[in-house]
This record gives sequence, structure tokens and C-alpha cells, in this order.
Amino acid sequence: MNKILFPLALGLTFTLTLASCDDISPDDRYIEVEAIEPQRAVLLEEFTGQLCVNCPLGHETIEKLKEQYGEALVAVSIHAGGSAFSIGEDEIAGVVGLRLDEGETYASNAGAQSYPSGRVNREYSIANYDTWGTDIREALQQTSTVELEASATADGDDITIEVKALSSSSYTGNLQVWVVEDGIVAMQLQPDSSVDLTYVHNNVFRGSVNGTNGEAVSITSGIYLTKTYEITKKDNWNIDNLSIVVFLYSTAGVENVVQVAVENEVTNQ
Amino acid sequence: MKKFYTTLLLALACVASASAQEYFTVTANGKTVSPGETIICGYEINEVIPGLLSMVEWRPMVQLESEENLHITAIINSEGSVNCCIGSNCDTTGALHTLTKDFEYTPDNDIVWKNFIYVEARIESETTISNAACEAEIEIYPDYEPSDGIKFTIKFVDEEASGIKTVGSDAQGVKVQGRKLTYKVGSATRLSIYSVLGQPVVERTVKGTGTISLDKLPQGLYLYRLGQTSGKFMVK
Repeated sequence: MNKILFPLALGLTFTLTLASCDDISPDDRYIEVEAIEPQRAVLLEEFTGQLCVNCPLGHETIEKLKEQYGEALVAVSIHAGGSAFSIGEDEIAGVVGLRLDEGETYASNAGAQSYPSGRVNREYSIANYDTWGTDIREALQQTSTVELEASATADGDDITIEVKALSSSSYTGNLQVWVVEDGIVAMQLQPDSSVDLTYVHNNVFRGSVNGTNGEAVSITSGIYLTKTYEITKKDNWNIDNLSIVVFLYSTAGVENVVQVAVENEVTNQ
Repeated sequence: MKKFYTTLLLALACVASASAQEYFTVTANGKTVSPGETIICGYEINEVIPGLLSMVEWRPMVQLESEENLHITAIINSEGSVNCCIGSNCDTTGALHTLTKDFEYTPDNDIVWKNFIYVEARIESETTISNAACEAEIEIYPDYEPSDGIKFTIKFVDEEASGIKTVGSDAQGVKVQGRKLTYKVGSATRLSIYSVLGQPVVERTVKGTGTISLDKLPQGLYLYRLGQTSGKFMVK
């Protein structure tokens, strides 16, 4: 279970009053923890396609950025661009296609025209992969007042998702919950226009849980917002490779985002 | 990996001031591109998933090298909708059948600028190839000396790039004349012929040199694949 820990502003003072503390000087007996701003993560939405020859370069960029930023970066690859750039999920019998109608909606909302392209936190301009790193670094410097937690467990084909949000000031926006999958083997055109039939796709958008635009929420300062969702695994999802992405967004951009792996109760037994 | 051939016709059109390329070089098939030149590029068929999904592709082997930052503008006009890839990403000419791409080249980015422009489309109907045929006007100039640029044109035409290709050390390929297909291969190789919509019409293993009659095929465009080689032909 991934948690972003948000230490409260506490000062902790310890006093060691052991009699035989001769080796500990008076100054070392006091430990103070300074107030830390709540950590935030940022969302990168990549618009990509299996027939887009330069898209593997976008995927490589994401892998490098994830190595660099760890949990602070949540990247989702959304297959779109119509039949020119991608293959629909049920488009060709026997061919794994990754484009969904919902993905096209997000691409359209983002104004995606070039492939690959991406945008950070729904705040920075949609752009080619060479700007993503700069935008992510900048976005991470912003603080968020909202702490987001999520968990997801699978019992057979049933997945239960729990979301908790807490804010130190009020927040109004939309809560969006997505299913994302790693490790999908499906064809991908390469920059030299050869076909890699055993390409491994990661961070693939597989569908929204609570509607294409999510649901409107209003968070009151100091009061937890909690949501629970029950979904059924689709036939073409691999439970062991699924994660849930949860984010809050408004016209000002993405306030915060978190990603948690779906824990499969079967494998835990 | 396929090798693509380009038919180069030098159209000695306008004669712009030939200063230009102290800062950068643009070459097509190894030769420096002159200002105002028109480069003609034929297409290849890429059978992405044999029998199910094919792409038509034009790769003009235009290479760009520079030690300075460059500004590149490409205006592409097509009959139908086509993907045009320049540098690191692709756009589609979309419903308006036109596209203008503006971008910056910097020497330190790791984009491979060989084949820096190419055009492709997914084959979805009999008219895809003729609709995807298009023309790109390209302008390249160094950022700090805009007057030292070069303008040239690339025509992506409805002609196949090459009917016979050399793969490795054995010359092998397919030639179609009238209603007869002649093949030449070294070792036993699979020959497949599909309608442009992906329906297989001939599938057999061939060896050496031989001919196949196309009499029974309805008129139209067909795609073939012989080992690593692929192409298209019309039956009239």
C-alpha cells in the first residue's frame, strides 16, 4: 500500500535523563523535527499510439522520468489519435489494441494533435517529450494543501477501491479515479517503422472508475472525504499488473495525485 | 529492418541566392539539397500485421546536420489525411488535409535527424495510397541568420519506390508485367499476395525463379510479401 506521509507540524522534544549519560552532551539530548510541507505528486498524461513510430521515444522518456522522480511522478499513457495513430481495443480480431473511446475524449480535451505529446498536471501546455522533465520539476515545487490516500484490493474479479482526502483548507474540484495497467504485450511501431510484436506497454490507461470526468467534490478543511468504489476486472486486464490512479483537478490544474497497486488477495494467501 | 529507396529527380526550378549552407547541411540520398529543389519520393508498403494491418510509407532519406540551432517549418498539403512525421513526432493532416509544423532543431538533442521527415498512412481502403500522396514545402534556417535558409519541396508520390529489392547478398524480388508475376528467390521463401484490404489471395512457398499467373484476380491493387520484401502491384 503506498502512502504519502504527511507529517503534521510537530516539534518533538526528547529529554534523556539517564543518570549515566556522561557521553551524551546536553546539546544532543534534544531532537527537533521541523515542520514539513505536505508532499505532492504530479500527473503526466501522455498521448500515444501503437502506430505512432516516434511514440516509443515518449515511453522511454517516461521510464527515465519515473526513475528520476519515483512516486512523485504519476504517468499515464493514453492511447488515442484515431486509426491514424492507434489501434482500438476491439478493432482487429486477434490483435491487442489499446485505444479506448475515453482516451480519445481526454486527448481531445487536451488538444493533442502531435503524437507523442503530453501535458503535466493539466496545467502546463501539451508538448513534446523534451519539455516534460522541466514541467514536472516546476510543478513539483508547488505545494498542495490536500493529502490523498488510496488503497485497492482484488478478490477474484472484484476490486474494491478506497479513497481518502484531507485538506488544511477547503477544496472544490473533481475527483477522478482511473485504472492503469503495466506489462501489456502488444505491437508497437518503432522509429525505423519496423514492428515490435513483443513490445511491453506500461502505464496504460484502461478506463475510468467514476466517470470520464470524475465526480465533483467539495472538501471541508480538517474533515476527511472518503469514497469507496467496487469494480469488476475486465477480461483483458491482468490483475497482477493493475494500479489505481486518483487525482483531484479543477480549471487550475491537478491539485494532487496518488497511484497505488491493486493488491491481489489470491496471491497474498 | 527494411531499406527504402528514393527516386531523386532534380527539378532545376528557381535559383535562390545560394549562400545558405555554411551553417548546416541538408542532404537527400547523400547529395546536398539545392535551394528550390524538388525531391520526389515513392512509397513502400509496410505490412505491420500481415493480412490485417498495412501502412503506406514514404521515407525520403533526407538528412539534416547542423552545429547551430535551426528553425524548421514544413507545410504539407495532401489529397486525404496523412501522418507527417518530422523530428520526434508526427501530426496528421486531418480533415483539412493540410498541416503546418514549426519546430526548433538543436544540435544537442538526441533526435535522430536522418530521415527527419517522413509520411505514412494506415491503409484502410483502395484509395488510401492516392489520397495520402502529398507535398511538403520545407524551410530551414539558422536562428540567428534567418536570411541564410533553404527552401525546398518534397513530393510524396503515388508511385512505388522500387519493385525489385536486394536483400542481403541474394537479389530477390517480385516483378509484375501484365497479368504475370515473376519471382526470384534464393532459398525457399514464403510468397503471400493480399488484396489491399488484407484478404489473402495467394500463399505459397517458392524457390528459385518462376512465374505466377494473375489471370484469376479481379482488377485492383494488391500487396505482396516475399520473405522480407514487400510491395504492391495493380492488376488491370
